[in-house]
Amino acid sequence: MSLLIAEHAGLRIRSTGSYLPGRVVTTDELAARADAPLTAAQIEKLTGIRERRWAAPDQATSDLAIEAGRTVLDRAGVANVDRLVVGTSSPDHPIPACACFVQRGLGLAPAPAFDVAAACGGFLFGLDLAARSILTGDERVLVLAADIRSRLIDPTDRGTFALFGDGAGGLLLERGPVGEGLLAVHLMTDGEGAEAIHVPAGGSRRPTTADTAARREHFLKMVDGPRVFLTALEGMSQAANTLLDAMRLTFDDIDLVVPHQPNRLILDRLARYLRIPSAKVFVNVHRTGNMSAASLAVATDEALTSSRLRPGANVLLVGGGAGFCAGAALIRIPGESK
Amino acid sequence: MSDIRDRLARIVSRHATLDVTALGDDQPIGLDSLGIVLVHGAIEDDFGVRLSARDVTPAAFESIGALVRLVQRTQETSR
Repeated sequence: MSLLIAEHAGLRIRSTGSYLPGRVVTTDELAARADAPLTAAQIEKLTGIRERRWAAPDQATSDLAIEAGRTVLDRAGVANVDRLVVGTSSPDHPIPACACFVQRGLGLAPAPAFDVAAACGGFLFGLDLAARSILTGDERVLVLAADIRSRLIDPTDRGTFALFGDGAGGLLLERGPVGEGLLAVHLMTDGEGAEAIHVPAGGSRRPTTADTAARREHFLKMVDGPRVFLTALEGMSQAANTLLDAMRLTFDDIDLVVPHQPNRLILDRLARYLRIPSAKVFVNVHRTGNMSAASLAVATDEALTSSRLRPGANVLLVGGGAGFCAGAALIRIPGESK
Repeated sequence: MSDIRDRLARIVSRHATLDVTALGDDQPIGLDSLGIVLVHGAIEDDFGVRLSARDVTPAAFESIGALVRLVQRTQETSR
């Protein structure tokens, strides 16, 4: 377990940004396919997802990240950073890092650029790295999270075929005033769940062969759905509580919880587990689907740029997913609390 | 015991669209993974308990009898 408390360090969130591809794939469209294993009504009941965005055939993950990164930099009026971190588990190629393409696209050379592969936790794990980089000397770090999950979906797998969308988001973290911005990050991983959500082939354990392709081993497999569901729920809940305890805060002090967006069922239960009203939980999964690492990055951008947060508001990010991994981060909106 | 069983039978019937009234306690109710997720949430709400990920195994959701034992075990440990 890792807990970074930086409330006296001064980590400002200079800007945020996100990008969703143009193609809208509705639940009705997915359910109308001949091999669809669930009806539209079943999908909506089980996931709460009405539509998701899928990347165009000529778009790779770095293309989405570049769009989001450009928005982040434009909003900040910044052209250079000291480091670029990209959270993704669907890089353009096995080698090199997706971040290399993003760095080139954004013109950020010679800033070091690398990927963080923590599945749905990629944004939080990248954020933690960015914070630590600034605490040890960097001035400004661009953290992006991007995933194209639609290309890992087995269209005949009823447990996963309707869950996922594609997207990218991120933020620019820099030195700033004490008492606002990023105040703390908590991360944890339990490798006992390493195979619970995984892509069986294409890595060093099972290299790609004609046989692995024929056996559909390059699609995302969720071996034990209920266990994944509950472990994600428990992980996010535990991470949130651990962070708040460390900061000596309660949920009464939190104005908005921005969670990873796995599906609506998990988000509804998360509110119950945390004993907070549903209105305090930011939700966009009904129109984005689960975008893996990008989900929390996009949700963070949408939440922080919305008008619902007053100066001084506390925002709690929580995430978790394959690995199993989980984490939380506390953000305070600049300005005096009224 | 029969109260718990009746409540669980209603939950399974409602969320898994299965008529379990004619089934014996240890006959399989045939929940798939999505059904388990729905029934799990309904049990937590109805009984006011928290079922941990460790307890939610396919075997624990195999029959009404197994569900009764799960709920009883959870209620005992939460006292």
